[in-house]
Amino acid sequence: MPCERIGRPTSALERACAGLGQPPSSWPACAAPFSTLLVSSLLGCAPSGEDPLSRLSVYEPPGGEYRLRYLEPPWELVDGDGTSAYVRIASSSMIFGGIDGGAGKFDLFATVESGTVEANVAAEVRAASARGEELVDGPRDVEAEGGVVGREILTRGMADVVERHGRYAFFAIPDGRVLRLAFDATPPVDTPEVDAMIAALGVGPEGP
Amino acid sequence: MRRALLASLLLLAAAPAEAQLARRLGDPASSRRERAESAPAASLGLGRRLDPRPGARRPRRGPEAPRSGRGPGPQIQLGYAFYRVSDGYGGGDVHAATVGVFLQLPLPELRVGLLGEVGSHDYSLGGDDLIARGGLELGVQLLGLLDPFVPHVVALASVGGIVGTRFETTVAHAFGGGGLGLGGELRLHRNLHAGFQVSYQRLEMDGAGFDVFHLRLFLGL
Repeated sequence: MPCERIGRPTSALERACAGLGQPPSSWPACAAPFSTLLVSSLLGCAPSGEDPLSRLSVYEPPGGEYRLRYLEPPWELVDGDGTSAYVRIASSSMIFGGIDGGAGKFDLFATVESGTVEANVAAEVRAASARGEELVDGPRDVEAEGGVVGREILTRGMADVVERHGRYAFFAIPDGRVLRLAFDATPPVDTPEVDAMIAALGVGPEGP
Repeated sequence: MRRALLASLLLLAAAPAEAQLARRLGDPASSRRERAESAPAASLGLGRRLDPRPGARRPRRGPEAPRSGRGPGPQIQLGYAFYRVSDGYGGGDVHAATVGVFLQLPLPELRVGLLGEVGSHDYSLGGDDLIARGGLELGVQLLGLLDPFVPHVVALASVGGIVGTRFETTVAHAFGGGGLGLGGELRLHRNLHAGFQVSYQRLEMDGAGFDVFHLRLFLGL
């Protein structure tokens, strides 16, 4: 279902429901698609769970500049508009306090910028300093899907009374543009899980 | 009619007398037969009945009908299971405690069982997850073929869930699937038996398929 992957997120639930033309709004409505999914799995049609990408949802802009893959849940797509995407993990105050604004436990913004990778990294270091953030590590290399290498920095700062961690990664994409990933989170972001999330990022048009 | 009834009563009355006479005369065959008939019916499990005589040979084939008219009781098994539900990053080993109950109804050669497991699931990028699985098995067992070993083959259906922490957030993922299992029980003493089961199951979770090879070791009563 490649048409389902352009300009909108796709999850296993959505893919299963879209396969039979049903909205993914309710579990009962999806009982039939899930049965189909289960049968197809038993017949060996489902993608192998050995592949770390098989269980991830994908956001891909209409132009195919990148493919942002995230585990849903706990990640959720908040906004996807053109080349920009915002996914987050809700904070406890959002979940239990009913607050729908402010910073999430994890926020991730994906945007397409102009310029070069090095110029964007230098600009990010200056911006972090201006925000009062401390540079924890970097600039250093970081690897996305297919061995595509970019550059990143890690920062730490205070938001109100809460310490927040930042991780900003930049990858060159065609037409002289740069993909910027900006993690902003209360927990540390220099972790194997975030490494794996960046490693699952597809950069540039998808190959044949 | 009266003559026939009288003859029947005389025969019934004469049977114990004949046995007593044979015992007095030292007829060993009659004595063994009498002891066997008077022994209480004790269910051995796995579709067999306990023979109270140590070292006695059990019949090679054919389950004995329970004297009470009911089938043998449920077999309860506690054990350990190991299998792997890949996490996609090289981990996914599962170590679980298991409890299983199976019935041999309506025939001792048939077995219908329920399984439950709780254990830990290795997650390469963080701490271990909690995994729980429930299963239904339906199959056949071969009684008397390799006595006291009772092999079985079953079809399995499983549902379960993994609860773990992803990005510092607790999440749960459900899975389900089915497959085939082979195994056997070795009768140790009365109902006590040790057994194993190896199975292959195809599980589905979050739209991905998992080939799961499952080993279960257990002791049962």
